[in-house]
Amino acid sequence: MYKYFIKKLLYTISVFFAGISLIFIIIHLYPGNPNMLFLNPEAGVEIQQRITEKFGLNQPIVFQYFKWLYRIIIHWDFGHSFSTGKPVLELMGTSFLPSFVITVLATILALCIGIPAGVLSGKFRNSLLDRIITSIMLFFYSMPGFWIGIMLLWFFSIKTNLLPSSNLTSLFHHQMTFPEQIIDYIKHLILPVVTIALPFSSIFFKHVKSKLVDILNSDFILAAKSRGISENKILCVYALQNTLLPVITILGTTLPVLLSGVVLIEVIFSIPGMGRLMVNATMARDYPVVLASAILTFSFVILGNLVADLCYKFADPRIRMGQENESR
Amino acid sequence: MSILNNEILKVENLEVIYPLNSGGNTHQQVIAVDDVSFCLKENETFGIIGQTGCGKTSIAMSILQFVQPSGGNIYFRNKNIRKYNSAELRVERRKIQPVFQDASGSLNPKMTIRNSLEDAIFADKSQKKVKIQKLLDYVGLKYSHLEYYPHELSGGENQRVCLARALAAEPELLILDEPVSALDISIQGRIISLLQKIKNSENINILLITHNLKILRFLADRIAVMEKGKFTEILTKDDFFNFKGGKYSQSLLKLHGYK
Amino acid sequence: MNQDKLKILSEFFKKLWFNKSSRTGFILVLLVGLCALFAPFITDYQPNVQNLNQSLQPPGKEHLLGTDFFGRDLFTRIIYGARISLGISLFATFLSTILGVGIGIIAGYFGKIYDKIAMRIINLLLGFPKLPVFLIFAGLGGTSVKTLILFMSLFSWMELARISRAETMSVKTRPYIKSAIALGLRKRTIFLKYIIPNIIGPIIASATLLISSMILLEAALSFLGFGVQTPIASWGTILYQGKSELVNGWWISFFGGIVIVITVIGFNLLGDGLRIIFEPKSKS
Repeated sequence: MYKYFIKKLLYTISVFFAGISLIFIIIHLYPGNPNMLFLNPEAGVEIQQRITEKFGLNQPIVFQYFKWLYRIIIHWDFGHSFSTGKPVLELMGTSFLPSFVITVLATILALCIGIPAGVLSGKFRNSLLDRIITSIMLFFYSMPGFWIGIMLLWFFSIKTNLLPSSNLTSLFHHQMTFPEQIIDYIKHLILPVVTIALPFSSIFFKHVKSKLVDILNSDFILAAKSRGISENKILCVYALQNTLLPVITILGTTLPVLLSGVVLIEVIFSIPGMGRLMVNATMARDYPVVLASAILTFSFVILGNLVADLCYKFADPRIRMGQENESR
Repeated sequence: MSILNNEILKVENLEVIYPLNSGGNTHQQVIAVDDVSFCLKENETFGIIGQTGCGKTSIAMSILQFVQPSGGNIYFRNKNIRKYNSAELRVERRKIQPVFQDASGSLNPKMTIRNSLEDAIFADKSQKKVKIQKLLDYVGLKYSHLEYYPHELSGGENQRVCLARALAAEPELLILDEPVSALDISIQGRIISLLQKIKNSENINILLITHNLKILRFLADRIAVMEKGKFTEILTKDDFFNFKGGKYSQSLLKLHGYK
Repeated sequence: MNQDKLKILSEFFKKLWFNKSSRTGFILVLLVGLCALFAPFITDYQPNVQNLNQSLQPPGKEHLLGTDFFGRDLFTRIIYGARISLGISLFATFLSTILGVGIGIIAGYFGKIYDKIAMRIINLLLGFPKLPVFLIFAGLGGTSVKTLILFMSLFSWMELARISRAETMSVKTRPYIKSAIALGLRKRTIFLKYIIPNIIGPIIASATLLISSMILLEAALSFLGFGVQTPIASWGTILYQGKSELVNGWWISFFGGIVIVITVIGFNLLGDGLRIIFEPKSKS
C-alpha cells in the first residue's frame, strides 16, 4: 500500500510536469510571435514594448520556461493579469470555489441518478422499464450538455420565473438573513448542477448497467443462485459490490469531461467561476490568466485521478500492483 | 570455431526464458528451452519430438527470430543470425520459412490465395504468374483455388497453400511446426506425401517439430527427443524406432502402439 | 472477385438492418446526411439572407421551424449548418482516426519503449480537459475553422489509438503475421495489408462513435464563440445566437439542439451496432 502510494505519487508528479510543459510548448511552438499573440492588437507600440519588458517576454524561451516553472512551483506565482493587473492567483482564488462546489454537487447528483438507473436497468433487463430508462439515458448521453442548460434556463427562469437565471447570489443577498442566504444559494445552484449532472449521469449509467449485466450472468452468481440465496441478497451483496467499485475509477477518468462541462455551464448561467474567467480571459487575450486556469484545471484532474486510484486501491485490495497502467 | 561446410544450421547452448505474465512485481519466469545444442546437415530432415509444452516451438521461434533467446547462439550457413542488422535480416530470413500447425490461421483472412502467394514472390508481375502456376502444380492445387479466401478452403488445401507460399520464397530451410496435427487423418497422409516429395526433390532441408510419430517416421532422418526444455538424446530414425533410445523414447513409442 | 465483395457488403447490411438500434441509427444518420447534401433542393430560403420583416417568427406554415432575429429561416439554417457541422466533424474524425490508428499500430506492433511512450502520451492527453486547453488554442491562433479542426483532431485520437493498439497486439500473435514477417515483407506492407484490414472493424465502429463526440465538441466550441464564426450557420453558432434570443425566440435554441441530439443519437446507435457486428463476442 505504502509502496503503491509512493509509486502513484511519483507518476502523478511526472504527469504534472509533462502536462504543464506541454502547455508551455503548445504556446511557444505556435506559429507567429508568441509574445505578440496575447497582446491586444490595438495596443500602441509603446504599450506593447512596456508589457513585453514588464512580463519578460523578450527573454530566450528556455530561460522563460525555467523561470516560469520556478515561479509556479516555488512561489505558486502565475504572474499578473494583462487586463486587470491583479495577481492571477487572486483572481483564481475567488473563482475557484464556485466551480469546485458545482463540480462536487453535480458529481453527487449524477451518481444519485446514474447508479440507481443502471441497477434497475440491469436487474430488469429487457423489460419495459429497462427500455424507458435506456432511452432516456441515450438521450442524456447524446445531447449537448449546455443545450439542456439553455432549455432549463428558458423554462424555469424565463417562462415560469421559478428559479434565477444567472450568478450565484441575488442582488440583495447581503441584506438577507442567514437561512434566506442559504436558500438563495440553493436556488441559484439548482439549474447549473442539474444541467451538468444529467449528461454525466448517463456515463455512470452505461458502466453500471453493462457491468451489472456481466456480473449477473457470471458463474459465481449462478452458483450463488443454485445454492438458494435470494435474488435480492445476490444483487445487494454480491453483484453491487463488484459493480460499484469500478465507478470510483470512472469518476477519476471522466473528470476532464466534467470540467469541460463546467466551463460551458458557467458561461450560460453567468457564474463567476473558473470557466467563465477562462473564457473571458481568452476573449481579452489575457495570457497569464488563461495559462494559469488551464494549469489549475489540469492539476485538479490529475489530483482527482490520484485520489480515485488510491480510493479504488483502498476499497479493493485485490488489484494487483503494477497493473494499473495496463488496465487503462 | 570449427564448422563443417555441410552444416546448414547449428544451434549452440540455446536458452529461452519467458517472464511469467502474472502482473506482479515478482519476477517469476519459465525456462522453455534449457541448453539445447544440435546441428542440421545438408539434405537432412531433423525431427524434434516431445510433448506439448516441452519447448519445441520455442526453438523454432528462436531460429525464426520471433523470440529473443536469453542465451546461446544460432548459426545459419555459418553466420550468427543474431548479429544481422535489420536490412540483412529482411533478406536472410527469407531463407528460413515456417509452416505452422494452424493452416487457416497462417493465411491473411482478408486476402485471396492469389494475393497471399503474390506477396511471397519478389519478382515482377509476369514472372509471378509463371511461378504461381508452377507452385500450384507442385503442391497439387487447382488454378481456380487462387480466387478463394482462406475460410472458403479446407484445412488440407490451406496447408498446401502455406507450403506453396513457403516454397515461393525459395528457402534453404523449412521449419515445419506440427504441419499435419490439425488435419483430418485422411488428409494427413496426403500432406505427408507432399512433404516427402519436397524433401526428396528440392534442395531443401527440413526441421520438423512434432509430437506425431507417424510423420516423424516418414520424414525424419535424425530425431531429437525433448523433455521439459532439454534434449534427452539425439539418434537416427532407425535407432529411435528400434527401441534403441532411452526410457522416455521407449515409453513414447509404446504409448503410440509401436512394438 | 467483385461479386464476393458485393456479397460481403450485402451480408453486412443485413446484419446492420437486423439489429433494431443500429437500423434506427443508420436511418437517422442517412436522413441528416441527405438533408445536408441536398439542402438547396429541400428549402427555398437562403441561410444567410436577412429579412427583417420576418424577424423572430414562431414555427408555423411559412417557416417550418420559425425564424431568427434577422428573419432567416431556421430550418434552412439548420440544414445548411449540417453541412458545416458534419463536414468539420467528419474531417476532424478522419484526421483523428489516421493519427490514432497510426500511433496505435506502432505502439501495439513494436511494443516495448514505443508502447510505453505512446501509452504515457495517451494517458496524459486523456487527462486534459478539452475545453480549457482549447481556450489556450483559441487565444493563440484566434478563432478559425482550421484551428478548430486541428484542435479537435489533436485531442481526440486517443481512444482510437487504444483500440488499434489492443487489436494490433492480438493480431500480431496470429501465424499469418509471423508468416508475413518470415517472408521478409516490408513493415509498410505488413501494416497496410496484413494488420489494418484485420482490425478495421473495431476501428470503424469506434470512429463512428467519435463522430458523435466531434459534433458535440464543435457545437460547444462554436457556442462559446471560439469555433465557427457567425454569420456562417453551424449548429454551434445557431445555439450561440439562440441563447441571446432566448427570451423572444425559444425555438432557435430548441430546434438547434434537437437536431444535434438526433444526429448524435444516430451516430451513437450506428457505432454501437457496428461494434456488435464486428465483435460477435459482445452479442450474448
